[in-house]
Amino acid sequence: MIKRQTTLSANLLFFCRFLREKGFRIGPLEEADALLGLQLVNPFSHSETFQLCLQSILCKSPQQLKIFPEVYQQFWKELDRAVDSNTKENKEKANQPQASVNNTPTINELKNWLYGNHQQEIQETATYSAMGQAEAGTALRFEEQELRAIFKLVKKLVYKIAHRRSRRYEKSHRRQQLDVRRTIRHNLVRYSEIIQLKYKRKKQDQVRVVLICDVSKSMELYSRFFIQFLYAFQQNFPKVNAFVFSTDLHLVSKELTNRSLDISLQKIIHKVTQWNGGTQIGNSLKKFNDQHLHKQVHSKTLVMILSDGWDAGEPEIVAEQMKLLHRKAMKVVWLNPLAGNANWQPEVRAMKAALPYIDLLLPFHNIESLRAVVRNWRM
Amino acid sequence: MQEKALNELSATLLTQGYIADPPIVMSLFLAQKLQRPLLVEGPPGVGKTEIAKVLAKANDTELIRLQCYEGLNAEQSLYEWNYQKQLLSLKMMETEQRTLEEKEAFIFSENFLLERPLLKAITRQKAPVLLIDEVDRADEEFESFLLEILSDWQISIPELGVVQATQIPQVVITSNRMRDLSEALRRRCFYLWIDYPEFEKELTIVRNKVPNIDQQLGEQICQFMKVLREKKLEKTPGIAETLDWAQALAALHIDALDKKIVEDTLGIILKDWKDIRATSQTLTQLFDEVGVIQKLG
Repeated sequence: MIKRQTTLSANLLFFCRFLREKGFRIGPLEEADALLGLQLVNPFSHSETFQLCLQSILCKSPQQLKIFPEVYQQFWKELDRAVDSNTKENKEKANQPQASVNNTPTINELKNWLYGNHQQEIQETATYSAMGQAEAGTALRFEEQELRAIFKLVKKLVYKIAHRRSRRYEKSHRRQQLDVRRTIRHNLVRYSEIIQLKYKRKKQDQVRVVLICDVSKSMELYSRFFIQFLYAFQQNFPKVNAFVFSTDLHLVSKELTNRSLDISLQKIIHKVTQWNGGTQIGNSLKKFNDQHLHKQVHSKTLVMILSDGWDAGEPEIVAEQMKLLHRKAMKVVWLNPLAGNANWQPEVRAMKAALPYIDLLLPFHNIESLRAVVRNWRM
Repeated sequence: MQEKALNELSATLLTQGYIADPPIVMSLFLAQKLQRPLLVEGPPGVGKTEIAKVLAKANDTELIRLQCYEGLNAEQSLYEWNYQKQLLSLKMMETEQRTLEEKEAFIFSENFLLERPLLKAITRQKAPVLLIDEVDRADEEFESFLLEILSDWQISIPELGVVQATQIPQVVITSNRMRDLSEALRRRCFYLWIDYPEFEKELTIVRNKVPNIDQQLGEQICQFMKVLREKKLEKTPGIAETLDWAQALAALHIDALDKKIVEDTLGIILKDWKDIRATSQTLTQLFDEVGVIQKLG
């Protein structure tokens, strides 16, 4: 018991490191807090109190709270085992220094346990074809009326997005809102006679939009609607960049500026040779991040991803790339055509991996859902 | 000894009518001792704001509240100059022979400063409880600006200089998760998630807050709420709604739930017409699940 006490702080730091591997954001600040917390709460009175104390300090989001008890149990169990075997060994070779050497096998064990878990995940069963299919997609026909409805809705959406007012004020000449602070300052020079009034107005945020649309085989049903959406967006909002991807990523903004949707579509299909092909969300996002993130995404950029989340690639890449994207963008919105189903759960691997980095996940499969998106848009 | 401190805190909260389970007590305890802000998240109506109120009462200190909303800015949260007073003073000083600098120094002195919640919180003699309510409603710029204050405990006013905190206030930040808060803000706070209460806890709360309620009715209400919350609703009712309902039913001198009463008073717990319609249509089924009818029979 006494030995445990002396190594408690070391073990605690070790636990913090373990949590970090599990995706907890824990730095020296949190570690210091945890140690301070232990001074306040007697860790040897109740194991629950100890756990609760660490939980209160180290968890920073509901997801973390959820997995914390499990991680906690696992860690101390593994540690106990390591310590026990270590003490046994120590009895045999008594003069060996016993500092933190015992940590090495434990971390390996923990690591195995950590990664072992990943492999158990269900393999998805989507049909995968690495090659694109160029001839498909031509069958899409657009009805005039439908397109007009989409145009109208997108116009509304664009208005809502573009007219985001900033919290900050700027000088204005329109006589709407008096800027008293500046007025007083300005007129102080004139021996405090208020002669000239100064005005201000809310600054407008310069919002930009990036659309990234999935046109792989699994999205075939919705491609038509999505292209209409992309087209309407590009026509209504100058500060938008549209991309489509299946196994590769393409910038299609220029193609979408054409007067006729049919011609636009032809041009896009000509450009995107993997139309209705397999899906590589992770790789496509990686290409986007590598080539376009720096130039096109800043803190006032709204990124919309239109995809069902079926991916043939590794979910780790998706998570990694989404994390990058999420950090840089103002908001990341994922429009998923499957989410409209009441029984739908984000179970697909890529979707699951992307979920922590999505600000808003919305169902999006027809005009009705677009209407709902527009109506509930608040950002 | 620490156990004692925790139990004491729990008891103090209880005397103020707040029933706290161990995670809440622990988070409050640590936040107080280590002087860190406490970020409280959870669905609406589970008593997030109440924590700050109770904490202020328990510590017998002032509660300073900053309600966040979109467009909240520095002037409304930190300080503002009292423009009317400044203008009047300028008028009154017209005949006096003062230089421009003197005038400026005079009207930008502390007498003309209007304290807004954040400035108020750091200049009090006794450390108050500062409640920053629904921080997710304010925009991200405000969040980053808040960070500056939460880490340095000082506010710089260009005309006056830097105002240092006399006492570090106990900060409680609440959020409904309308949007994700920044990692930086999370890291500076201790985090507490309050969920809808378990049956037992809710029953205790109801009995505590509505003492004149019939024993059986209390149980039925909590049971009903528990089942109701499992349904897919537009707006899931919180403890606040349960208490409203319990109070209303107690005032009507009702001692057991039946279908008619529930149907008539559904507007108290459900605040969306779609929910009301869906629930009243499936009321019989709901009652079966609750087991109220069997109990009565």
